Amino acid sequence: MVDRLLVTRCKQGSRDALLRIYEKYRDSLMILAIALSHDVGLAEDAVHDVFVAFAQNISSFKLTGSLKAYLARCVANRVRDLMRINRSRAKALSPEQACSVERDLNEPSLLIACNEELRLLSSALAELPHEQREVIALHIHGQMRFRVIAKSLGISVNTVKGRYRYGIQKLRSILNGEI
Amino acid sequence: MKMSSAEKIRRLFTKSDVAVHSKVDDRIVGHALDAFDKSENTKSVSAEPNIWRMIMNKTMTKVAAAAAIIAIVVVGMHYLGVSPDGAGVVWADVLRNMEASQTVTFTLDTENNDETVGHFWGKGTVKIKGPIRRFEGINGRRSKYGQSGEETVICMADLSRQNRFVTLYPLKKCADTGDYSGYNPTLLTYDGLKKDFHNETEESLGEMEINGRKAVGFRIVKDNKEIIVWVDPDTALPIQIESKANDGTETLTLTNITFGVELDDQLFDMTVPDDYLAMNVITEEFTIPFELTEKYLVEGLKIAAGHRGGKFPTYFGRGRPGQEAIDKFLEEDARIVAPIEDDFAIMLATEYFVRLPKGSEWQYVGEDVKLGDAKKPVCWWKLPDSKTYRVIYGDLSIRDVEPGDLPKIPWLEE
Repeated sequence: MVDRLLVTRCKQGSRDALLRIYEKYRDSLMILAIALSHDVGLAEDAVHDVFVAFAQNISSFKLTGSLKAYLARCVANRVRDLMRINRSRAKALSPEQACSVERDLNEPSLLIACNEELRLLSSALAELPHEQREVIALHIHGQMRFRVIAKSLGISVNTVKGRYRYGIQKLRSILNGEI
Repeated sequence: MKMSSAEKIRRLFTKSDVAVHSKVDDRIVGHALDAFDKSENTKSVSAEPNIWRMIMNKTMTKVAAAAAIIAIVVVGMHYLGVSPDGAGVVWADVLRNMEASQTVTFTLDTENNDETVGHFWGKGTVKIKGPIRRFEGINGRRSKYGQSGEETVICMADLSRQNRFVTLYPLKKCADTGDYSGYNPTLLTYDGLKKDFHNETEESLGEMEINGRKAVGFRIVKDNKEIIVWVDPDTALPIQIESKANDGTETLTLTNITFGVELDDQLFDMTVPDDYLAMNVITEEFTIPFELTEKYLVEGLKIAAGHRGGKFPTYFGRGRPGQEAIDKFLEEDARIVAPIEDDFAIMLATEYFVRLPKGSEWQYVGEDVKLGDAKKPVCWWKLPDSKTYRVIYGDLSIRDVEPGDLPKIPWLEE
């Protein structure tokens, strides 16, 4: 079902439509949040907060573009806020702690398992400053244009392009031996 | 071929995957749904006044009003004698005697023409006791397109309780109720009548024989209305009253007027019998003496389609957005004069989805769908706990449909 219809139904009071939006974008947003934060707990919180806020404010929500891009932007913003609040925790976790496939899924704090590619991606992005990481993730994974990213971050397009270019250059050396 | 760093990142993103435990889903979904349910502004079929239902109700309100008006209008005739000071001696006697009478009965014949509402008529007997008046007879209506219908009604109005009224349809076991306090302009007629009878402009018409009885006539002209009262000179009480609007929009004739008759209080009991289907046309609250199931929704849809030459209406609770669709629906509605039981059946069908719990996704897509078309959907809904939608098709069959298999409706996709 198209996003616009799902949103319309949500606005009409459909819980099912809200669930379908969650199911449709959960994994994508979770991957984005993990890639940005390198922290599954924080990623879960970010996706949680975004969906709760989305549900709370659905009546005034107006879909003007892509719902996926909108939610991705929200998740990126929330990750940034949570990292700011909880920076010490994000820094303390090792990549293994952040993305554990083998951990017991019944552990409350380890309920999200990442595959190998996501762990590799998250590790690589973790080497970048958050600003560069954010632009790369939103552009490549969120499929957002530089102009849209610039608008959402409140910075110039050139700054966005610069962050992207420097980030990619740095990733080249990181990923050379990995892939 | 050597892959660029951007391409490598893109590939990693594409191949990235997460396994999310159901506990995470439960937490996020649970909190999101809580927030969703607490959001006061999310629309619900049951929580929001429904403009389309109000339009559908308009017909019933019109019919109810027509019956109530009959009763209310004649109140003016009964409450004439409040202050006859300065009137002529004979006329003052008439007013005083009318005021002294606690009961009155008469035969009523009235017609009302209105460009917007249509043509209404009522023929029957009126019994008045204290503040309550009871009309029992035929109430008819004709649309501007010529369709007409009549109903046997008992309508009672209580002037001491904000013109509260109840119209019983004894042959159909249904009733509508409401009040016209400060609502219906016809009350102006009541006020007008009182003023007309006390404006000291009455003109004596002299003596005349009315139905073999000697009578004295009085003529009152005010605004666009002429009222003629024929009075028995022996009792100084009216035996016939005729009221006519100069523009022909309203005529009212009261004959066989009898004052001071014994009338049983039970005749003025405004309680709706327990086995009646009743609706308050002002608040749209239903009193339903049976369990409201989806078969009543199906029945209402069938009747609505039947009135439109076998096509389902443009709206039924919901429908295609836009002014053009509204105008189309109003045009459809204006052409229909249905038996009262059909109006009730349609309103009852709307009541079915109004009573669906919040979050039930009522959607009507039956515009122009032909009755009997098994392929085209007319409406659907889904209870919050259900995984599938109940879909009613043009042949009135009901099927359970997975969300992904819901029929595609172009204007819903926009």
